[in-house]
Amino acid sequence: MSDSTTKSGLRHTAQAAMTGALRRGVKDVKAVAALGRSVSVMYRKGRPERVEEATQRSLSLSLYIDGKFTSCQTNDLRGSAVEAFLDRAVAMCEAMNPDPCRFITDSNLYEGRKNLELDLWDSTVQETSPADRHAFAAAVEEAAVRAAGARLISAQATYQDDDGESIQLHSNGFEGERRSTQAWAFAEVSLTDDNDRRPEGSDVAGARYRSDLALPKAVGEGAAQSALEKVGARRMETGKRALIVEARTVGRLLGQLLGATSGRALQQRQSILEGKLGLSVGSELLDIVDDPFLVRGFGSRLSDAEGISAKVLPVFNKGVLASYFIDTYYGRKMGMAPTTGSRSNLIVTPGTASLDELISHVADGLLVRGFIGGSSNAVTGDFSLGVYGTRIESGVATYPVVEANISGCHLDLWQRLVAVGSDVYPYSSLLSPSLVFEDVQIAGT
Amino acid sequence: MKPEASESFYFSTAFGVSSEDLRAVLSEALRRGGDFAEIFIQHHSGSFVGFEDGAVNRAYVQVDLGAGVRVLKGDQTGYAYTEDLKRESLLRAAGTAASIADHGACKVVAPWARGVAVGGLYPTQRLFAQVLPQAQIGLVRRVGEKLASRDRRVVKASVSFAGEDEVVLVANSEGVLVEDTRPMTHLLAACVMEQDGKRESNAYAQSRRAGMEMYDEALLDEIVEQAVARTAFLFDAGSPPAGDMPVVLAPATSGILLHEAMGHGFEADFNRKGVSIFSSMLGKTITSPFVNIVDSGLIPGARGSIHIDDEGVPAQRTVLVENGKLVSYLHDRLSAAHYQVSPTGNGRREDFRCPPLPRMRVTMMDSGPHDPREIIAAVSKGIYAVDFANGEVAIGAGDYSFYVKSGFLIEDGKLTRPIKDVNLIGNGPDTLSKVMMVGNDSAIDVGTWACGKEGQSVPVGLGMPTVLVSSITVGGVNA
Repeated sequence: MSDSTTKSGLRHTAQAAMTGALRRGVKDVKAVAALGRSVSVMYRKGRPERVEEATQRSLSLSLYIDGKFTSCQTNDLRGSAVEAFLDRAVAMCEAMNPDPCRFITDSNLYEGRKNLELDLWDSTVQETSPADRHAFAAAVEEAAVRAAGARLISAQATYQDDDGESIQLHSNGFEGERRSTQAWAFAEVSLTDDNDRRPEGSDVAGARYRSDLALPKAVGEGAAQSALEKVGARRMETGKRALIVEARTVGRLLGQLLGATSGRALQQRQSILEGKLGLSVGSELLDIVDDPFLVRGFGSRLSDAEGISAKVLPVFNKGVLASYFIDTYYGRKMGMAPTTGSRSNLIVTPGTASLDELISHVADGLLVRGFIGGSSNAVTGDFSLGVYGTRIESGVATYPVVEANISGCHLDLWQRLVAVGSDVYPYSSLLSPSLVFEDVQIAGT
Repeated sequence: MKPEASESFYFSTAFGVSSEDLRAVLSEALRRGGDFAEIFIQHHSGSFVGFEDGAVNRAYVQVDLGAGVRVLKGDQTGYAYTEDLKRESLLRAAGTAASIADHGACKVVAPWARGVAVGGLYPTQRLFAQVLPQAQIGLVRRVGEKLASRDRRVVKASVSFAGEDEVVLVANSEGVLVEDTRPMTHLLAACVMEQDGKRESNAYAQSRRAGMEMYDEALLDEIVEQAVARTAFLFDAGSPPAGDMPVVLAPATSGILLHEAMGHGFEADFNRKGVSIFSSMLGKTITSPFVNIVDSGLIPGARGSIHIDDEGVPAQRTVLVENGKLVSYLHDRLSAAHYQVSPTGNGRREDFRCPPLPRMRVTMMDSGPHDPREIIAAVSKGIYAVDFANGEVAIGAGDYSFYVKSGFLIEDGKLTRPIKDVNLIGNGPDTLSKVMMVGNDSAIDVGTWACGKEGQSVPVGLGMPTVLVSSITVGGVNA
């Protein structure tokens, strides 16, 4: 095999593996060769506690033989090892049951790929010096320590950057290349309380471009603030109340609803959204679009993992379910046109009110700042989730709350969405503001 | 395990990594004054086969290979890894990891010492890589067909199987050179059932460190039977009331309470930094005198069992709570040095890409003095939690939660209405102080438990007798 640590090497690795699979009788092949580099520096007590550096590479294949299917991945790219790997994967594929719906992506779906510059790769990440990384992590930690004050037990801060590159080739004509970078800063703070509890807080910031990364001070202070918000926490009374789900935690709740939009969930009868396309499943404020073309977005792409050309996909339009996420396999099984099997950037349409304004309009409720455990029943939509946050009384945040639990059914919950904020959380491929629900069951004391 | 002081070990014969290469890498790692250096090499190979809609129609084959080099300087860690095992790549990783140190005398790598011969916890008759695809596919098809035809209410049946081989090597600057071959297998049956216009889904799985020989017909029937029974149970189940109430935890699976509410808080890295709620409780009585909690790597075939941990420390059984008193944390090398105790064999990692951390193996509560029937009879109004899905903990505050997939209401000392899909939430030390009764029926669960920490996932086990906790918050409805 060739040197897989260069762009031409990646192409050769993918091409050679595809050729090797075809030579073994495989009818169609998808091949992806990828290479990445990651460096991180963690600081605690004013000095580096952990420094990590790595390069990683991989070769992934999807093999199709007349309806038989196997996928496989290896990072052992020695020539003889790849040959043995192909022998094993092809033998597995040959032994499978044929499935009339299982074949490579229809090449028509490759058409219409936009020629956009998504601006996902920042050359300066590669040029970041060890001293810069140390200085950033140290500055985050220093800010966290200062903001935490006398209650501080421990603060730690990490700076990390990643640079990744991949090439994707399909035997029926698809070719795609991708290079992207990310830079991240994390901070965790632990404090004393007036009892045995040791409240923890954390904050994170990330960006495709190093120059877009938040200032270290903001991340360190954010972590300290989130820990300080938990000092003196106590339980609240059981009852039905308003719930504000803070922007950065929305994914945990929304993810359970979005799980019901997948083709597999629908075809396997494990979706509460089966038969609901075009129907209202939430209030008019539930408005979500999947946009793969955001410049510097964390989920941005020109095509998906199957090679389907990316398109903007409305998911919920004023509460009405507008699209499912359907890949080619489950699309064929259900006789439905594929959209895409995976989300890109999900954008929840924001409102105009700040978080403080949302709080001021709640007479009796809970601001959920985080989830702890819990789950959802995929076929009934019933959920039960542990939460912590801040009690809201007469429009004012009064005291921190722990050991609370919310429960209900997703088919009912999203109809209770009564307000959305303007405070979109930017460090995720889910871009959502805070959400307000009315009359949600909260279990406490 | 094959502790060797010779040239003949897996990575020498399969990948040409010599004993001299390992010494050179460790020497390079110590070059800038590190106190300790270690190399962890891993070769993982797995196959995964799936049944859906009446056919075995998907498979995944995976190979993962690499080596991580760690250098310690005091409590500081330098870590780098490489995905090829060429000498120059290993030396480059060692040079990167060495950079954590910038002063001090260059230590010498000690001569290889013979490892401690712990073994036999998971004897492998044959690696999964040597099992013909047809055998794995045949197994999965058989289970799928049994599941699809087991009950007329089953409308969707799916099965997934995994067979994994892993060989790890640990060599360090103190002369340790050990290898371990670790099998792992898992079989999951999941179904969707419909009854009277209602639909429910559930799954059942078993997992062990074992080879294909684990799968006899009786086991396949048990897995199918459990998947169907656990799904059908949900049709008649409802939500319990919300709020605080006594909870009786059923044996085996309820070990998730130990794992979440206590186990993570006992991991010594959190305590070393003072961020666990248990940081100031070592040596103190934290629960009833009939409570004994252990974490063991020595249970034959259990998911969390390991002949050696990922720092090369031999497996052992660690007593954490003895007669109600917290007597030990779970240690890796770093935390053991901090507390000036011996490592407890809990230094584990997801793979060669990660440095080790204190992690649980099989965490369980020993049997206590009470008859399980007596425990249920002692509750006038509460819940009996039988089947669990997942859990989570906030280490510093001690707050935990775990999700009950199914159970029963207890009314006047008897099991009455079935319940489902409810989250329990509480505080670890508080819950420990409320353990009122411990049954004489401790059992280890055989489910596919995986524990996440700092982005790393490792296989674990758990176990529990029937236990009464006088009050936990139940996330039900209709307050």
